[in-house]
Amino acid sequence: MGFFGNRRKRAPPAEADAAKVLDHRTSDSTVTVAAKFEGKIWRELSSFLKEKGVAKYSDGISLLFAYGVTEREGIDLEKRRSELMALGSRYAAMRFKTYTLFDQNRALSIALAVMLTENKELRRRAAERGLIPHTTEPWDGWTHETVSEFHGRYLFVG
Amino acid sequence: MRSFWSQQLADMAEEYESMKQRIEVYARDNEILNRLHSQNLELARLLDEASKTGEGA
Repeated sequence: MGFFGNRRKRAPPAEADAAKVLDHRTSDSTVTVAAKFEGKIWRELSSFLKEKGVAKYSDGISLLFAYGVTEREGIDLEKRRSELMALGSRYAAMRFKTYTLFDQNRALSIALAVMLTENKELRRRAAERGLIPHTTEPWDGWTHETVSEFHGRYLFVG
Repeated sequence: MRSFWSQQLADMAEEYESMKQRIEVYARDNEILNRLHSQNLELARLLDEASKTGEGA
């Protein structure tokens, strides 16, 4: 059974009037339906369709019905919803991780040019004193362009 | 035609994949920037200690 069928079956009484079929006419190959939506539901629906880039409400509503009735993959609707919820929470955790990394990288990128100069000087002095061996580090080859790339990624974000 | 929920799931999975790729880049940058920063702190500490003890002077 499709989305709309299940929703209708499970909807609490308060939502029963949210959308109502006023009239329907059946011909050989089509069914014409006149429907009434509660203001709040209509606004939510309109905003959802707008968000999805559907300009014409009539197209959007037809699409929603079509998606609902073409749920033929044999996958339980509740399973789909829980998959969506699980993905949603994983996504939220990743967003937080992304934000944390971005924030740290931004702070470090601000000081990057200074850190590179400082590192060169500190390593030279430490090596001269025999405190560390002469080593090569991945950032030794970094140029002004590399620093700009970091700035572009973490500082000048549009 | 894809079902409504399948489409929602596919959209979210696509967004999730793109976020995952972004995290990989950020994590790689974070690792090297932190390594540079930590090395500077460690070298400064070493040089400071050496100057106090007169080591390597």
